[in-house]
Amino acid sequence: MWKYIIRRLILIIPTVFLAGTLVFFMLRVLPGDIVSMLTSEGGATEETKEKLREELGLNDPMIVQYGRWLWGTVNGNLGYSHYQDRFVSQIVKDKIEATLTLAIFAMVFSLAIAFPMGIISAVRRGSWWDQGIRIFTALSLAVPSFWLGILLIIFASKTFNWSKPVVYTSFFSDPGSNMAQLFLPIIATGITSAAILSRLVRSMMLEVLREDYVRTARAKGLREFLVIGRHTIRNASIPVLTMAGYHFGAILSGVVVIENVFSIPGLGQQILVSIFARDYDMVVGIVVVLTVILAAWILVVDLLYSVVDPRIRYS
Amino acid sequence: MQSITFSKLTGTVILACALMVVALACSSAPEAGTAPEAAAPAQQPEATATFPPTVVPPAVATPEPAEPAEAAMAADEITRGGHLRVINGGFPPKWDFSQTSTWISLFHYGGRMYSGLLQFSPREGIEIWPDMAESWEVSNDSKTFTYHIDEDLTQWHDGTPFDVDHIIYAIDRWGNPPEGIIQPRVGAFNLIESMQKIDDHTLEINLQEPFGDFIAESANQWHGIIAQHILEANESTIPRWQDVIGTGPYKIIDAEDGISVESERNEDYFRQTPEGDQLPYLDRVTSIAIVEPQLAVAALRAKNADATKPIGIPHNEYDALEKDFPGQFTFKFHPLIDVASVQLNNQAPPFDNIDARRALFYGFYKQGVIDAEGKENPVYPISWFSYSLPTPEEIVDTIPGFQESKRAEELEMARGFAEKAGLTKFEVIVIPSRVQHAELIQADMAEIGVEVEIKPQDWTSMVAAVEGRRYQAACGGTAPSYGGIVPLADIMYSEKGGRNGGWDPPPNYLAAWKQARTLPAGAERDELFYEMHRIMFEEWVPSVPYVAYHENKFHWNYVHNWHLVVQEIFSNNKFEDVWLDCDAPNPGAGC
Repeated sequence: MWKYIIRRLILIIPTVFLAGTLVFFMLRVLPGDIVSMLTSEGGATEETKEKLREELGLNDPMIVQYGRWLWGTVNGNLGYSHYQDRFVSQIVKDKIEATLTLAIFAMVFSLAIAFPMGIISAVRRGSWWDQGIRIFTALSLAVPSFWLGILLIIFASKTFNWSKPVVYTSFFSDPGSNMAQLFLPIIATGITSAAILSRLVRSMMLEVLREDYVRTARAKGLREFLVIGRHTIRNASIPVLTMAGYHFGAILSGVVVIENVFSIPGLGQQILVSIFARDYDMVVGIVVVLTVILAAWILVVDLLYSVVDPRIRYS
Repeated sequence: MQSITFSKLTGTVILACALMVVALACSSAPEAGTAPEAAAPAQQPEATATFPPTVVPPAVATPEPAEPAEAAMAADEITRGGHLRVINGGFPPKWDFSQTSTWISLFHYGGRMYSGLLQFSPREGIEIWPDMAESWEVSNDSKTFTYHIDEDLTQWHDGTPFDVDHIIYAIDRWGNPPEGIIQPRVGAFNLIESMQKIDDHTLEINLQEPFGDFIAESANQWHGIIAQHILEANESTIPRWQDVIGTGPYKIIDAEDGISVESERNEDYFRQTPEGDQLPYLDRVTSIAIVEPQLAVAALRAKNADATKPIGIPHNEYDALEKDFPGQFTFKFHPLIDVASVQLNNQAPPFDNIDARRALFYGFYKQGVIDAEGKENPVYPISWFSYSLPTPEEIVDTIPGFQESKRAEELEMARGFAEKAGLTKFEVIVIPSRVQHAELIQADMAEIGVEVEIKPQDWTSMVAAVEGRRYQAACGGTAPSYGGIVPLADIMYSEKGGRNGGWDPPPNYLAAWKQARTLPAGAERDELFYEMHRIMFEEWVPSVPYVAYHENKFHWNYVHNWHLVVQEIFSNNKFEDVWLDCDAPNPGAGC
């Protein structure tokens, strides 16, 4: 088990460097640079800009810049944001909490509604419940999350004259206020995953419900609640867990838009600003951190298999 | 909705997913209406200057005058204290506003945490008011400027004693920035030859050459005075919000990067009203960055915010707010005199040929843009000189592109210029928000047989292309013309200025400007400005004007002295004498 975990952790390293390297070069293909952005509203002379490019190392050969980034990252230095005059690691540290809070609660929300919807759909197959949930999931898949976010804002605002508190509060300092702020974004972020996962839960449940051991359980007079709860859900969960692992990645990328719609000071909002600013170190730094988080999450999900199904053993 | 519980809301919003159509139906259609008159100035300080304000226009389309009802309001009717929460659409990248070049920095901290030598009136953005200097003098040759610093200005926010030498240090940094520091808004500060501390409260600035508008430069909010001891302790930059130490009416107390800046009253603020009332009135000001307009509207509606800077918010939302809260909410639109923002590369074909530029100038139907926008109070194209402006009626009469009856004639002229220049095709790069305008240009040019290819790009790419002159035409960006003469001098005409590389004027224009900038305000200088105005429209024709809104008042009526003016971006971020009624959500303790 430990060997397996260590092997997986080691595999994260090349994954992270590959992701970082790709983004490093992709960013530099884009026209413009941070100096253009810093002076985009006027004033600076060409000499000043060139001087600044020289000082920031933007005139160095690409391979030199890459080597600098690689060496820094190996040494735990994610670089410096020239746009914000701060170290990338400091900014990431400040912003990661908001992103993770949103992403984790969105994942929890999607699982919390995916399982009941999927189970009800499977157990009441063909009923109005099933049809209603099918329509709901189709709608959830069809509506882009940012648009849903805007609709939720309009709905809450025009129906109740309510909007989320405008100044962000950390979950750890005031959970209630934090949840009031993240409540709508969580729905907007998690709803698509919830729809997909609920369809998966439904089909897996239907498959398991046809298994002989379920028929046996029913034949011996076990109550339906226990048949579903004890014998069916658990066996139907493994593919759902796998999919949930990958959906966390989708949620992480979804927060880029949602954080901007809802003014949440997370990495998603930061990466958008940084991309527009051509703040290379910042963008690569965020990608590296998100890659690490995602890889770790997938590892955790893989390990959960053995919890859900004790027959699974890692060696 | 303060009474709605969280759990009740939870259930309701889940239902919202199924009620999205209802939510859409809730959107109010635009509706014409008269906004209630907003709060007007409580009192207007009288300038103690011995020199007439240089930027007061002789006869111009200035913003609305101060409304008399509140202008006469006695000081004892003003409620002290309270918490103002004001929204804007962005957040500054750095804590040194002088390095950012974006006005958003002034909004979030530059304006209210720092003081300048002088300031523009927050009423109309034109008259010059005292700030650090309570009076000033200008020598007859317009080369020596003497500022008498307010004797009540004794310390920085952190208690460090204030000294006139600090002003010298900060201004010198503009003209002579340390290695790695850029000062995009240096403007006429690079004309400074020397500065002397005459005594503990007197500063003298000598210029290399006469420049009548230097007083205006001193009032430009971009030229706020940054603390020497902070810069020296931090390699000439301001790395954290905790280092935003100024002498302004508010002290920074917290900031959430990307979201908000919180500030509280500076108890030791040195300024009073002319009646001797201590400023500022508010206890606390929070500026909030909200990118999504609907979220900004929702925050206003829920009274989670009290006012907004108006960028990007759909007008029908304000109409709906007024409809839902009659008499409680103010929104007011005012045309901004603006020239923007199709830039033509006049150093490369086809627009190095003035006839090609003329073809575009005459062929572009500006009224078509107004119609397409479907908005009232359009911004008309006009001279960059905010005080030699004709009225909108004069614009419509004299500038091509506004009258359907003249359309055929103008198209004929455009066609002639296009043929003369051999203009058959060009490419316009455009930021996504301006694609509609580019499409209108495309349609207009098609009428004279000129093909236009539209290439959408992000802002940075467009700026890079324009700066590198790798373009023919570009559409986007209005900053140069927003602030009238001061940002104009800053950005467009100062020796080291220039914007986006595409604005090189013809020699006769430059000659007129060179002469004008040496003159103090007056008839002689105005003559030159009129001549430059003529050259711009008749000879230079560098831009295709577009239309947009200037929206200048959006707030709940319990907010007073919230004036957004034509030059709002550069002048009204101090909140010095803004105050709140007792029916505000966060009123003063005395209510």
